[in-house]
Amino acid sequence: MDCNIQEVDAIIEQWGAKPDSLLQIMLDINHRYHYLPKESVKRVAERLEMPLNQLFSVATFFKVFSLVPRGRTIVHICTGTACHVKGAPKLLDRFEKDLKLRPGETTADLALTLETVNCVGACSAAPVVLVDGVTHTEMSANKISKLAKELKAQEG
Amino acid sequence: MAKITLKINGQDVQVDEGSTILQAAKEAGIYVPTLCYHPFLPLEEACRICVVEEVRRGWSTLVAACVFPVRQGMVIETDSEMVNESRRTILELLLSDHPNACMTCQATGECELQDLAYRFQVTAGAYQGQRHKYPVDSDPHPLLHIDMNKCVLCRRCIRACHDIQGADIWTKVGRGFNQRISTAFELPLLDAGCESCGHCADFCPVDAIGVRSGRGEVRPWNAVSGSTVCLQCACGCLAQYQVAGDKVVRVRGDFRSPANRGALCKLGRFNFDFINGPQRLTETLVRGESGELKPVALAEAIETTAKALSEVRDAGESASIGIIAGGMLANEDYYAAQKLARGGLFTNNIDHVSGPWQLPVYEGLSTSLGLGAMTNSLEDLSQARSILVMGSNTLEKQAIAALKVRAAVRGGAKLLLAHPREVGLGKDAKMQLAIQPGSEDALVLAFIKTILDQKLYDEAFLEAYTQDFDKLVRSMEKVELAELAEKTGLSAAVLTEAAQMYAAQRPACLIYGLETGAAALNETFYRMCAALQLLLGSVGMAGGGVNVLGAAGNAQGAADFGAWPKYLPGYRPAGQSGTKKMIAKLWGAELPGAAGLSWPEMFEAMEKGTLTCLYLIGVDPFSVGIAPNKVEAALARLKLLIVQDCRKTRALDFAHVVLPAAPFIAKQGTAINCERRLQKLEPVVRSGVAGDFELINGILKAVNESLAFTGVDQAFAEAVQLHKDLDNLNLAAVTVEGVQLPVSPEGSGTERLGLPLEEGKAKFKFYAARM
Ligand code: SF4
Ligand code: SF4
Ligand code: SF4
Ligand code: FES
Ligand code: FES
Repeated sequence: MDCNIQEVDAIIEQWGAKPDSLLQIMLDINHRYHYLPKESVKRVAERLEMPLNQLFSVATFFKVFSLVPRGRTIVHICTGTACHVKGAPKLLDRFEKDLKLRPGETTADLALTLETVNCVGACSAAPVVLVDGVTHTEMSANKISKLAKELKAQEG
Repeated sequence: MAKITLKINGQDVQVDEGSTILQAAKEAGIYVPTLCYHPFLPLEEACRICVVEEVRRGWSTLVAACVFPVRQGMVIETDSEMVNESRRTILELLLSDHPNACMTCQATGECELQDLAYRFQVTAGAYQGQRHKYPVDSDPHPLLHIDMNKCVLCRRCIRACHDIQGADIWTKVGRGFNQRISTAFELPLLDAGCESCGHCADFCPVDAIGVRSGRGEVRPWNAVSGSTVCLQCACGCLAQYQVAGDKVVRVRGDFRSPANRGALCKLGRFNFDFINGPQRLTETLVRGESGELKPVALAEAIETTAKALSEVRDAGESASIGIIAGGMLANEDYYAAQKLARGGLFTNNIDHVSGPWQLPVYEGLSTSLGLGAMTNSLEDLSQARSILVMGSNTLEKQAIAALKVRAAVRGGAKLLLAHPREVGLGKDAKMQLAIQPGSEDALVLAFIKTILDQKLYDEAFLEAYTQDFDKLVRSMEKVELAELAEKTGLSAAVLTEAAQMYAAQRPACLIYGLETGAAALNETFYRMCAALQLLLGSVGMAGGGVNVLGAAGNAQGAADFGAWPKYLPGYRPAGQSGTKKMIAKLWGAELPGAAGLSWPEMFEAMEKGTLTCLYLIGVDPFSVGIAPNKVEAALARLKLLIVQDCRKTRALDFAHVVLPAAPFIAKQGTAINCERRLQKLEPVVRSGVAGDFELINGILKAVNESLAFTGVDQAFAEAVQLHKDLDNLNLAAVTVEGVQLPVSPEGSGTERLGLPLEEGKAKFKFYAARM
């Protein structure tokens, strides 16, 4: 998705062009584009009168931020201890087979990004998968196949 | 300040409140290891190697000594089992993710990690963890060598790049084990905007960021180190040169001089090719009958030169002799050169390359402010609240001043940058004014006009410290803003906005870079600069002032020691009877009458054929800003051209005598930087040839033995008798920090021009504006 400077400026305006607002601004931009386009980071540095290298440091520190394009839908497969024991590796294998997607990757059409996560606190219902933050519990290889199909259909 | 007493290793230590444990330990002479800490950088607490044990009733904790403040009654142990165990663990962890390739590492012998491992006898291998694998020499930077496998994540590079250079290139990327040091978007350094100052390499405790020169060739212990003043620009940084044989291997900032406090610029740090390179001039040559330059003994060349010059003088044609000196000579060289011209050859035709630019600075400022040079200290600039920079690419030409400007901007100062071209401080400026070349005077007048019209001036200050305000007001009545706008090429609205911004925060700091190349502005310009600063009540305090930076390395020294046509040492007017009398007594020689020719006038005289003998000392006539064909024509007409230099220049093609001279780092003597700081030069390399001083003195001796010096020190001692601002200065008493002119009879210096506080002291004068 191309980054629109007016849009970035509007987000900056909303929080105020001051260093204190940096995180909120970056979160909003990340939310809007599903990642932090390079141009947007440069723009924020310029408007907040902050050195670019500091912004880059922040952008690489927090896991929520991405500097490479991410999908519109983010799937997290939990690989925490409980989920691992209950078959998370199988879920990952099946997802890769169905959608050709490995953790950290995004589909070429920017529809989906797959990530892993270390325990989301729902161990009793392991293994767990999150789709845009919505929890799917007690998953199995078949269930994730179905989920993959649905996700594909949604994007049409 | 309140004192605090604490116990370190059972010893009572008393320190100022607010000190850290590390400072207290240092005071008591107790060793505490450090790694991320650096006395000239902000604190970071990144490594915790400095932990010490704070003993409380019944329990104790480990605290980082470099950041932890002392408390009354605190009990500290720096060498306990707990402390040493912790330090060893930290070192073991560091070494577990380190190449430990000390045998081939360039930093061996000066590496802080190696020293710590040695001190605590820690070896690699205690932890078998994951190890980073980064490419060695990972950045194409031509001067720096990057190997992040060796990085200990102390972040000194980040702090140096931010706090000293203000470039903000290095940053920490990622988190946890994946944290590493890189640039924004992981760009190569130069693409990320690196200014090649080399500070990061200076501060890196290991060989993660190093320099390319000397790599794999010279071990640190095979080089000798010595410090002297860099004369490549007017900042006069104290620099430490690592020299192997007669080659410079590496240059580091020396923290002892207040001029630079350890900072250097790209030029001072990396530009030493003219010392090491094939351009070095080493042979004494005289042009023979056949027209070829032939090697001769130095004594013979000096004799030939002196004989030829004496003949011209004795024929009553002294006016046809001229001497031009470069910008990187020592004070004593300048003093000797002008003594040779005036006393030895009976002419005032002596100038130094930046003379025509420095002269109006002196004349304009000495009359209005009573101090004819940069009014403040370099360090002062960082205290400014608003800043106007004009007249040079300051970041390149007088880097230290630019770094202080950046420090001020980080502290909230607003910077206005006026230059016809895009220049280095652009990213730091609130407003960039692309003025027409040479229109700085119109810009300053526009500021004065706006400030007067809108009554933005500091009335109380004007009342207390200045006189003749009405003179300025009356003369400005006729000046039209529109006219000034046209001259600068900016709109009246932009000029007004700029003036308002400049006047809004005080102290306001005016910086003029004195770029040679451009036409010299006259003394009225400097009087108007003084007027602007006085109007804003920004004279006489840190962060204010009229700061004219000096056009060449020792331009200030050249002026003070009389190497120009109009003034003798100590700014004694040439031709004035009092001066003549005094000098006649001191030298035992008659002086020529009126002022001599400036160097541009000398070139004109050469072309006309009225100046036929020229002595060039450390100056390339093809780089002074005159068209090459004009230089050629002028030099070709000379009957005698003496070229004295440390490097070969095109002037050699025209020379009759060539005298090889030592580079500035091989000299003994003194120099004065732009902030009027007189510092000592110490030879840090053996050059194998005579220095400028010995050569000039040799000629002086041959033309009139009674004028010659017994040595550099005697030349200095003689010169200070002529200069009231150096009154009786005893060179032996000058420390490595130097001393700023004017120097009081007791030997204390002047950090900045003060306010006329005492009753009866002359107030600052306003002059009428002239366009
Ligand atoms: S050389 Fe200077 S500007 Fe470049 S990264 Fe190092 S400290 Fe920063
Ligand atoms: S590169 Fe050097 S200065 Fe920078 S963090 Fe690493 S070890 Fe420290
Ligand atoms: S700022 Fe000037 S004096 Fe300092 S290192 Fe650079 S050239 Fe030399
Ligand atoms: S391990 Fe997956 S939810 Fe806790
Ligand atoms: S030296 Fe104190 S934390 Fe690094």
